[in-house]
Amino acid sequence: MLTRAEIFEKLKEILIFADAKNRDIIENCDESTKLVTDLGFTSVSVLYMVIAIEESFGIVFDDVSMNDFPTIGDVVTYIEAKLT
Amino acid sequence: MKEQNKAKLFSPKYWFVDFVRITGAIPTLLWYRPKITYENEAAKKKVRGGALVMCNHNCFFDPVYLMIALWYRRHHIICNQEFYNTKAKWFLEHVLCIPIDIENTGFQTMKVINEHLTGGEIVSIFPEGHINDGSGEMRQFKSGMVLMAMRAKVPIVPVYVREHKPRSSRLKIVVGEAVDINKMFDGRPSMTDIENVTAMLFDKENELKEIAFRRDRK
Repeated sequence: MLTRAEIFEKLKEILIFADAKNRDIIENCDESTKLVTDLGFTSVSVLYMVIAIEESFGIVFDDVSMNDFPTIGDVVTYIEAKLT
Repeated sequence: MKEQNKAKLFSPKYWFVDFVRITGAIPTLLWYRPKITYENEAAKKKVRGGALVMCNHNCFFDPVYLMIALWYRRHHIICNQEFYNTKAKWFLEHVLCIPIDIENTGFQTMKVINEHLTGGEIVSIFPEGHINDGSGEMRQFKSGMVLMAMRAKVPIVPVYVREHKPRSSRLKIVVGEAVDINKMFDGRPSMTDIENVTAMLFDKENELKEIAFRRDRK
Protein backbone atom coordinates (compact mmCIF):
# COMPACT_ATOMS: atom_id res chain seq x y z
CA MET A 1 0.00 0.00 0.00
CA LEU A 2 1.48 3.33 -1.09
CA THR A 3 1.70 6.23 1.33
CA ARG A 4 0.43 9.68 0.38
CA ALA A 5 4.01 10.90 -0.09
CA GLU A 6 4.82 7.98 -2.41
CA ILE A 7 1.71 8.64 -4.47
CA PHE A 8 2.72 12.29 -4.72
CA GLU A 9 6.23 11.41 -5.91
CA LYS A 10 4.93 8.92 -8.47
CA LEU A 11 2.44 11.49 -9.71
CA LYS A 12 5.24 14.04 -10.10
CA GLU A 13 7.14 11.57 -12.27
CA ILE A 14 4.07 11.19 -14.49
CA LEU A 15 3.65 14.95 -14.74
CA ILE A 16 7.32 15.52 -15.58
CA PHE A 17 7.14 12.90 -18.32
CA ALA A 18 3.93 14.40 -19.65
CA ASP A 19 5.18 17.96 -19.68
CA ALA A 20 8.98 18.21 -19.78
CA LYS A 21 8.77 21.95 -20.52
CA ASN A 22 7.54 22.59 -16.98
CA ARG A 23 10.02 20.23 -15.36
CA ASP A 24 11.38 22.82 -12.89
CA ILE A 25 7.93 23.93 -11.75
CA ILE A 26 6.75 20.33 -11.32
CA GLU A 27 9.87 19.28 -9.40
CA ASN A 28 9.34 22.11 -6.93
CA CYS A 29 5.57 21.82 -6.70
CA ASP A 30 3.58 20.85 -3.64
CA GLU A 31 0.05 19.60 -3.12
CA SER A 32 -1.39 23.10 -3.34
CA THR A 33 -0.03 23.65 -6.89
CA LYS A 34 -2.90 24.35 -9.26
CA LEU A 35 -3.04 22.25 -12.41
CA VAL A 36 -4.56 24.86 -14.67
CA THR A 37 -3.16 28.16 -13.46
CA ASP A 38 0.29 27.04 -12.23
CA LEU A 39 1.07 24.19 -14.64
CA GLY A 40 -0.99 25.40 -17.60
CA PHE A 41 -2.98 22.18 -17.93
CA THR A 42 -5.74 21.94 -20.51
CA SER A 43 -8.61 19.44 -20.62
CA VAL A 44 -6.46 17.24 -22.90
CA SER A 45 -3.54 17.36 -20.46
CA VAL A 46 -5.86 16.28 -17.65
CA LEU A 47 -7.14 13.38 -19.76
CA TYR A 48 -3.56 12.43 -20.54
CA MET A 49 -2.71 12.52 -16.84
CA VAL A 50 -5.75 10.38 -15.99
CA ILE A 51 -4.80 7.74 -18.58
CA ALA A 52 -1.20 7.68 -17.33
CA ILE A 53 -2.36 7.37 -13.71
CA GLU A 54 -4.70 4.50 -14.61
CA GLU A 55 -1.83 2.65 -16.26
CA SER A 56 0.74 3.40 -13.54
CA PHE A 57 -1.41 2.85 -10.45
CA GLY A 58 -3.71 0.19 -11.86
CA ILE A 59 -6.87 2.04 -10.89
CA VAL A 60 -9.97 2.99 -12.88
CA PHE A 61 -11.24 6.56 -12.82
CA ASP A 62 -14.92 7.43 -12.73
CA ASP A 63 -16.25 10.30 -14.79
CA VAL A 64 -13.82 13.07 -14.02
CA SER A 65 -12.95 16.26 -15.83
CA MET A 66 -10.63 19.22 -15.48
CA ASN A 67 -12.81 20.94 -12.86
CA ASP A 68 -12.64 17.96 -10.51
CA PHE A 69 -8.95 18.40 -9.83
CA PRO A 70 -8.06 22.01 -9.09
CA THR A 71 -4.80 21.08 -7.33
CA ILE A 72 -2.26 18.25 -7.34
CA GLY A 73 -3.38 17.46 -3.81
CA ASP A 74 -6.88 16.69 -5.10
CA VAL A 75 -5.44 14.17 -7.55
CA VAL A 76 -3.40 12.54 -4.79
CA THR A 77 -6.50 12.35 -2.57
CA TYR A 78 -8.47 10.73 -5.40
CA ILE A 79 -5.75 8.13 -6.06
CA GLU A 80 -5.41 7.44 -2.34
CA ALA A 81 -9.15 6.85 -2.03
CA LYS A 82 -9.13 4.54 -5.04
CA LEU A 83 -6.21 2.52 -3.70
CA THR A 84 -7.83 1.86 -0.34
CA MET B 1 -8.19 -8.61 -27.87
CA LYS B 2 -11.64 -7.14 -27.54
CA GLU B 3 -14.40 -8.73 -29.56
CA GLN B 4 -15.62 -6.43 -32.32
CA ASN B 5 -19.17 -5.07 -32.28
CA LYS B 6 -21.04 -6.99 -34.95
CA ALA B 7 -23.64 -4.97 -36.85
CA LYS B 8 -26.76 -7.04 -37.40
CA LEU B 9 -28.58 -6.51 -40.65
CA PHE B 10 -31.73 -5.38 -38.84
CA SER B 11 -31.46 -4.22 -35.27
CA PRO B 12 -34.18 -2.30 -33.38
CA LYS B 13 -31.43 -0.29 -31.71
CA TYR B 14 -30.33 1.11 -35.02
CA TRP B 15 -33.63 1.33 -36.89
CA PHE B 16 -33.72 5.13 -36.92
CA VAL B 17 -30.17 5.66 -38.18
CA ASP B 18 -30.71 3.02 -40.86
CA PHE B 19 -33.97 4.73 -41.86
CA VAL B 20 -32.27 8.16 -42.06
CA ARG B 21 -29.36 6.78 -44.07
CA ILE B 22 -31.52 4.96 -46.59
CA THR B 23 -34.08 7.73 -47.10
CA GLY B 24 -31.45 10.45 -47.04
CA ALA B 25 -28.90 8.84 -49.31
CA ILE B 26 -30.71 9.11 -52.64
CA PRO B 27 -31.65 12.84 -52.52
CA THR B 28 -28.24 13.65 -51.04
CA LEU B 29 -26.37 11.79 -53.76
CA LEU B 30 -28.52 13.43 -56.45
CA TRP B 31 -28.16 16.94 -55.07
CA TYR B 32 -24.48 16.96 -54.10
CA ARG B 33 -23.21 14.48 -56.71
CA PRO B 34 -20.15 13.86 -54.51
CA LYS B 35 -16.84 13.38 -56.20
CA ILE B 36 -14.64 11.36 -53.90
CA THR B 37 -10.90 11.50 -54.60
CA TYR B 38 -8.34 9.36 -52.84
CA GLU B 39 -4.90 10.58 -51.90
CA ASN B 40 -3.32 7.36 -53.16
CA GLU B 41 -4.08 3.67 -53.65
CA ALA B 42 -3.63 2.91 -49.93
CA ALA B 43 -6.35 5.45 -49.07
CA LYS B 44 -8.88 3.37 -51.03
CA LYS B 45 -8.50 0.47 -48.65
CA LYS B 46 -11.53 -0.10 -46.44
CA VAL B 47 -10.73 0.43 -42.78
CA ARG B 48 -11.08 -2.69 -40.67
CA GLY B 49 -11.09 -2.84 -36.90
CA GLY B 50 -12.06 0.71 -35.98
CA ALA B 51 -10.71 4.09 -36.93
CA LEU B 52 -10.96 7.71 -35.96
CA VAL B 53 -11.90 9.87 -38.93
CA MET B 54 -10.91 13.54 -38.81
CA CYS B 55 -12.42 16.13 -41.09
CA ASN B 56 -12.35 19.88 -41.57
CA HIS B 57 -15.51 21.71 -40.52
CA ASN B 58 -17.06 24.16 -42.99
CA CYS B 59 -20.76 23.82 -42.25
CA PHE B 60 -23.51 21.92 -40.43
CA PHE B 61 -23.81 19.42 -43.28
CA ASP B 62 -20.26 18.12 -42.86
CA PRO B 63 -21.42 15.03 -40.92
CA VAL B 64 -23.69 14.18 -43.86
CA TYR B 65 -20.84 14.64 -46.33
CA LEU B 66 -18.67 12.39 -44.19
CA MET B 67 -21.34 9.71 -44.16
CA ILE B 68 -21.43 9.88 -47.95
CA ALA B 69 -17.65 9.66 -48.24
CA LEU B 70 -17.24 6.76 -45.83
CA TRP B 71 -20.18 4.43 -46.08
CA TYR B 72 -19.82 2.44 -42.88
CA ARG B 73 -22.85 1.00 -41.13
CA ARG B 74 -21.96 2.11 -37.60
CA HIS B 75 -20.52 5.54 -38.10
CA HIS B 76 -20.52 7.65 -34.94
CA ILE B 77 -20.04 11.40 -35.04
CA ILE B 78 -18.63 13.34 -32.13
CA CYS B 79 -20.75 16.43 -31.66
CA ASN B 80 -20.67 19.45 -29.41
CA GLN B 81 -22.54 19.01 -26.12
CA GLU B 82 -24.31 22.34 -26.77
CA PHE B 83 -26.53 20.70 -29.42
CA TYR B 84 -27.65 18.13 -26.87
CA ASN B 85 -29.26 20.87 -24.84
CA THR B 86 -31.63 21.70 -27.71
CA LYS B 87 -34.66 19.98 -29.28
CA ALA B 88 -32.26 18.13 -31.57
CA LYS B 89 -31.17 15.87 -28.73
CA TRP B 90 -33.47 12.95 -29.61
CA PHE B 91 -32.43 13.06 -33.27
CA LEU B 92 -28.73 13.28 -32.48
CA GLU B 93 -28.91 10.39 -30.04
CA HIS B 94 -30.59 8.22 -32.64
CA VAL B 95 -28.17 9.00 -35.46
CA LEU B 96 -25.24 7.77 -33.35
CA CYS B 97 -23.80 11.08 -32.21
CA ILE B 98 -21.55 11.18 -29.17
CA PRO B 99 -21.81 14.40 -27.15
CA ILE B 100 -18.58 16.01 -26.05
CA ASP B 101 -17.86 19.08 -23.98
CA ILE B 102 -15.09 20.56 -26.11
CA GLU B 103 -13.82 22.91 -23.40
CA ASN B 104 -13.81 20.40 -20.59
CA THR B 105 -13.90 16.86 -21.93
CA GLY B 106 -14.93 14.36 -19.28
CA PHE B 107 -13.19 11.04 -18.87
CA GLN B 108 -16.47 9.19 -19.32
CA THR B 109 -16.76 10.61 -22.86
CA MET B 110 -13.27 9.30 -23.60
CA LYS B 111 -14.32 5.88 -22.37
CA VAL B 112 -17.43 5.84 -24.58
CA ILE B 113 -15.38 6.80 -27.64
CA ASN B 114 -12.74 4.24 -26.72
CA GLU B 115 -15.39 1.53 -26.47
CA HIS B 116 -16.69 2.26 -29.98
CA LEU B 117 -13.21 2.40 -31.46
CA THR B 118 -11.95 -0.77 -29.82
CA GLY B 119 -15.23 -2.40 -30.83
CA GLY B 120 -14.20 -1.92 -34.46
CA GLU B 121 -16.50 1.01 -35.25
CA ILE B 122 -15.86 4.27 -37.03
CA VAL B 123 -15.92 7.48 -35.02
CA SER B 124 -15.67 10.83 -36.77
CA ILE B 125 -14.39 14.01 -35.22
CA PHE B 126 -14.01 17.60 -36.32
CA PRO B 127 -10.72 18.53 -34.63
CA GLU B 128 -11.21 22.25 -35.25
CA GLY B 129 -13.87 22.12 -32.54
CA HIS B 130 -16.15 24.59 -34.30
CA ILE B 131 -17.20 25.46 -37.82
CA ASN B 132 -14.37 27.55 -39.28
CA ASP B 133 -14.81 31.24 -40.03
CA GLY B 134 -15.42 30.81 -43.77
CA SER B 135 -12.07 32.29 -44.81
CA GLY B 136 -11.03 28.94 -46.26
CA GLU B 137 -8.39 28.47 -43.57
CA MET B 138 -8.82 25.77 -40.96
CA ARG B 139 -8.70 26.51 -37.24
CA GLN B 140 -5.91 24.93 -35.23
CA PHE B 141 -6.68 21.30 -34.37
CA LYS B 142 -7.31 20.20 -30.81
CA SER B 143 -5.05 17.39 -29.66
CA GLY B 144 -7.75 15.31 -27.96
CA MET B 145 -8.25 13.21 -31.10
CA VAL B 146 -4.65 12.01 -30.97
CA LEU B 147 -5.14 10.91 -27.39
CA MET B 148 -8.32 9.04 -28.38
CA ALA B 149 -6.61 7.21 -31.25
CA MET B 150 -3.60 6.35 -29.10
CA ARG B 151 -5.72 4.98 -26.29
CA ALA B 152 -7.82 2.83 -28.61
CA LYS B 153 -4.79 1.94 -30.78
CA VAL B 154 -6.62 2.76 -34.00
CA PRO B 155 -5.46 4.73 -37.06
CA ILE B 156 -6.64 8.24 -37.95
CA VAL B 157 -8.20 8.66 -41.39
CA PRO B 158 -7.93 12.25 -42.68
CA VAL B 159 -10.76 13.52 -44.88
CA TYR B 160 -11.06 16.94 -46.49
CA VAL B 161 -14.43 18.24 -47.62
CA ARG B 162 -14.27 21.22 -49.93
CA GLU B 163 -16.82 23.93 -49.27
CA HIS B 164 -19.83 23.31 -51.49
CA LYS B 165 -19.74 26.52 -53.55
CA PRO B 166 -21.29 27.23 -55.96
CA ARG B 167 -24.25 25.14 -54.88
CA SER B 168 -24.70 23.75 -58.38
CA SER B 169 -21.19 22.27 -58.39
CA ARG B 170 -20.26 18.77 -57.36
CA LEU B 171 -19.22 18.22 -53.79
CA LYS B 172 -15.51 17.39 -53.61
CA ILE B 173 -14.22 15.11 -50.90
CA VAL B 174 -10.63 13.91 -50.54
CA VAL B 175 -9.89 10.82 -48.46
CA GLY B 176 -6.33 10.45 -47.22
CA GLU B 177 -4.29 7.42 -46.31
CA ALA B 178 -4.86 6.23 -42.75
CA VAL B 179 -2.19 7.45 -40.35
CA ASP B 180 -1.20 4.90 -37.72
CA ILE B 181 0.17 7.13 -35.00
CA ASN B 182 0.66 4.20 -32.63
CA LYS B 183 3.58 3.02 -34.72
CA MET B 184 5.36 6.34 -34.22
CA PHE B 185 6.18 5.78 -30.55
CA ASP B 186 7.61 2.84 -28.64
CA GLY B 187 6.37 3.70 -25.19
CA ARG B 188 3.91 6.26 -23.88
CA PRO B 189 4.29 9.55 -25.78
CA SER B 190 4.58 12.83 -23.89
CA MET B 191 2.17 15.73 -24.33
CA THR B 192 4.78 17.41 -26.56
CA ASP B 193 4.73 14.33 -28.82
CA ILE B 194 0.95 14.48 -28.94
CA GLU B 195 1.02 18.15 -29.88
CA ASN B 196 3.60 17.42 -32.60
CA VAL B 197 1.41 14.67 -34.03
CA THR B 198 -1.56 17.07 -33.98
CA ALA B 199 0.49 19.60 -35.96
CA MET B 200 1.52 16.85 -38.40
CA LEU B 201 -2.14 15.88 -38.92
CA PHE B 202 -3.01 19.53 -39.54
CA ASP B 203 -0.36 19.63 -42.29
CA LYS B 204 -1.73 16.39 -43.69
CA GLU B 205 -5.21 17.92 -43.87
CA ASN B 206 -3.73 20.89 -45.74
CA GLU B 207 -2.16 18.47 -48.24
CA LEU B 208 -5.61 17.00 -48.87
CA LYS B 209 -6.94 20.53 -49.30
CA GLU B 210 -4.34 21.07 -52.02
CA ILE B 211 -5.60 17.94 -53.80
CA ALA B 212 -9.20 19.16 -53.49
CA PHE B 213 -8.35 22.44 -55.22
CA ARG B 214 -5.73 21.10 -57.65
CA ARG B 215 -8.16 20.12 -60.39
CA ASP B 216 -9.59 23.65 -60.56
CA ARG B 217 -6.18 25.19 -61.03
CA LYS B 218 -5.32 22.99 -64.01
